[in-house]
Amino acid sequence: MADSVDIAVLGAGPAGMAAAVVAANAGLTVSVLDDQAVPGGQIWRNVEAVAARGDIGLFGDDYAAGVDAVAEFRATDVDYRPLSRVIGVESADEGGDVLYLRDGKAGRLHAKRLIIALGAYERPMPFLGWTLPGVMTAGAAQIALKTGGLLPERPFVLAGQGPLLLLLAAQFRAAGAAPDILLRLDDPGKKWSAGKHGLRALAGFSDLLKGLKWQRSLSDGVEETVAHVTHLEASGGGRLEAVRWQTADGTDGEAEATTLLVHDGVIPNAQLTRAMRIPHKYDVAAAAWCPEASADGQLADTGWAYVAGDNAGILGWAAATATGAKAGASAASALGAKAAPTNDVEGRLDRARAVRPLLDALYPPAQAFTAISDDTIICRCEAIEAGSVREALAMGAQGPNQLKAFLRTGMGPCQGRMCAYTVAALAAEANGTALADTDLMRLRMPISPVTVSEMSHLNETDMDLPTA
Amino acid sequence: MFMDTADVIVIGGGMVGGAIAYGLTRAGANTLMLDEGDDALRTARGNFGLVWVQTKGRGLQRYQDWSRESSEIWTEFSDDLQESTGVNTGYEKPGGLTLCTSDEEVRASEEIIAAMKAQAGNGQYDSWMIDRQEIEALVPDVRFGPDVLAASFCPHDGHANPLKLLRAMHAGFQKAGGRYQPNASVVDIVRDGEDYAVVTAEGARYGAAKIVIACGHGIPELAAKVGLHCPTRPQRGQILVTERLQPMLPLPMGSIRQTDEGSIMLGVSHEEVGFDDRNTGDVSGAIAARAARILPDFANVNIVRSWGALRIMPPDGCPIYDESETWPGIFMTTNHSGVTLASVHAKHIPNWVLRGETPVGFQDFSVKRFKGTPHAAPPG
Amino acid sequence: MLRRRVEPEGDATVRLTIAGQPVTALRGESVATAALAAGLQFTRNAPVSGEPRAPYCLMGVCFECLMTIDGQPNRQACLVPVQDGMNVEPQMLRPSLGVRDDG
Repeated sequence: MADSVDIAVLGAGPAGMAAAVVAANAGLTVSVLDDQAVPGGQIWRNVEAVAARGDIGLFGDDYAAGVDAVAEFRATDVDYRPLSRVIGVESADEGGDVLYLRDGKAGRLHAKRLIIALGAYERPMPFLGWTLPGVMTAGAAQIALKTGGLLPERPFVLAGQGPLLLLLAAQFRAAGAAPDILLRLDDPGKKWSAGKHGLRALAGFSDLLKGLKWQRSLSDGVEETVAHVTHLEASGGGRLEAVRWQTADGTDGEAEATTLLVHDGVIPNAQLTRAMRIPHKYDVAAAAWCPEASADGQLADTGWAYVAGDNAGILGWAAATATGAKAGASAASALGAKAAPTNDVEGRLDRARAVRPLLDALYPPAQAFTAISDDTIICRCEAIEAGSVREALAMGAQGPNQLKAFLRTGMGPCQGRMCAYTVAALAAEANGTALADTDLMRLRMPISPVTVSEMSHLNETDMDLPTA
Repeated sequence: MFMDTADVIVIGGGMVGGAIAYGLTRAGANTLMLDEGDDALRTARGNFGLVWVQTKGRGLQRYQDWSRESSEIWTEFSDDLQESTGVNTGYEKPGGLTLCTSDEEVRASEEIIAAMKAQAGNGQYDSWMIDRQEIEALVPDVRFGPDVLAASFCPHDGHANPLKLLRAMHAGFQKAGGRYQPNASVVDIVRDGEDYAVVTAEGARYGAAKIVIACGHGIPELAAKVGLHCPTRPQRGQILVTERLQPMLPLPMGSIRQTDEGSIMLGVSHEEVGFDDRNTGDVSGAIAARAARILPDFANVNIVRSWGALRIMPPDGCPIYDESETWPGIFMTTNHSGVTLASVHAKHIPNWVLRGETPVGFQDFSVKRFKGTPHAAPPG
Repeated sequence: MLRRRVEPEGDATVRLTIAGQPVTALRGESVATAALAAGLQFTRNAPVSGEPRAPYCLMGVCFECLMTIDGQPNRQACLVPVQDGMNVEPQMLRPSLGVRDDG
């Protein structure tokens, strides 16, 4: 039988840790399951070890804030289960059963309330050559720096858009590896049209100041910055050798490169909530599908599951600690426990929300103005090019699910993490519909690969499986 | 007032509708295929991919013959599809095994073979038991667990890639001039003079002299409108799919087969859960445990996907083909063997629909075989 | 594509074998970053196209870092922390089960 707990929290990033702390302090039994070996999530990845080795200064104040948050989490008596991978959730006994992998076995954990805080990942940005070794996301390089102390090899090109890109450029520079070329995929014209958000954004002024600081530090140490790049290509024989680009005014450029880091903002990691068949809505401003939830994070169509942090919609780590605490308090109250009010939750949330429209307006996804060529691989697992998708759409495939059946887009081990948005965009383009009216492909348990042996541990019912 | 008119409208764009529409168009009929949207409840996307003969038609010999004939002409059918569309369905007919992992299963298989032989009566039933050594000789590249005792073998069994089949039939249908109308969810069929009009949820009307109702779980409701009773129910089957492996299973083994792409498909459950097509941890665990018992070296193989799909199950598990007596020219075709029977559907159903010509004994598939399940009264 | 700023030393050092070469790694990092630091040009061949692929996201999303770790094929190397004595190989095409490979 499943072991059982009052509240299960999935993810030990800012939101998951905050939720767990609130629920544990309310006297409830809490289990926290996380992919990683140590708490912190992606933003505070490996923060304890980085602090211990004296490198915390490389990453700025936002990262340093993780030291206290992880310490507070460690001080609780929550049942923390690192290196645990969630593969699915089933509703059971007025709560949920979490199906997860740990130590080579699939297990089942029953929770009366479930808080899902699986964070975000970088928006996949397909372009010709993006599958070449040597091309990786900027976030990946940041993780490599935080965990293994790795730096990009030169010649090093950084390409993309968004506030995180600017932060990363600053971090690489501080660590002694400024990019040789920075290709900015954002549209400088947006700065003017985004101006109308300025007043409301003042409430989030500290974030804005940070943005300005990154902007300024960007130019330091970078050999060359190219503005408003609208087309990007990587090439090489078996690994990255060169990067080519074109700007909005038609100027071409090319450079040798050993490392190309790309970044196009982040999107909610909604694999689990989608597999749970929670309705998701396309947020036009954020250009992302988000699970439908109430103000305290309770997921639509469930009485027992919550979503918190960037998993619910991108607002950043400070807001994630607030939405995590809110979900934790709400879940705890629902179980009759008295959850202590947490510090300035609404204030943190308001500030994060206030600055968001400006950031969304300044940094729309590059894909929105970068056409994907027919010969670009969009599904990395199955090596399917955009042209095949367009062909199947012309034949009458109505959307991502029929495309999956016809082409296998999304059927590889990543289960559409890398192609779902692109496939939806191509379908919308072909059908002349808005993205908001296009669904992502359907997902099912297991949302991550499970070996036959691991899966066999879920065999509880002595089910009759006839041979044919 | 009609969005479109045709000689024949096929309602449903799945395995059955796709094969019939493909056949009709190639037979020269002006055909319109109406299909639902992207997130319709599609059995065709949940198929295991067997072209299977050995266990088909116990209690209805015509179904065994029908499956056997389909297997005989599947190669030609697949070749035609590839020639007209360039899509290879991956069909192979290496024979198929039903593995027995207990004495009880051995007895059950022997009993099925004896019963099928007696039923066929002409010595035509073509399956036999093989022992463990013979299994190992047929499948030399994997090690079987100690529970594998014997198997029934049928040389007419094979398998295909069901998704490529679906895509090929759609492409072949359109290449031959057929018209495909997605996002057309049919809610009613009404008389229109001598002909019929089909009405969709979106309010569009399509006209035709003949209609084939082949929309899976949507058939009972639609068939009732034209005086046809369709006593099918959903039955859930769950399947696990592994990562791609080197070719190692040269023939399908009932609920375990390797696809042309290298994945191993592991099945399959039979669950009476209504219209709930979710997949579940307990059944996944049971399927994996059985697979590990049969093929112990699969323990470390990754399962990368899983799904649940709803079979369209008639009370006796055999297909139903019928024409409405009160609405002549309206046909229903329902079964859960859309892949196995795709070739006979494409070949024979058009003759039945267009000219009333049916293969010998075809009336055995009539819904009238279900005694005590009265036909719905024609509306109006 | 990535190089190490500072070589691991003392207690922080983990020794493992990657693609047949002895490698030192930093305790707490993943097999994937250790492979990158070791100068591995790719971590796998894509099973469909045969193209070389290397880690893209390093956070469990892209599945490009699939490697054979201690005999287990297709492990996500970015989610597996390095351990002393590990034996890591790039994932070359589709795994076989190693049964009757002598044909």
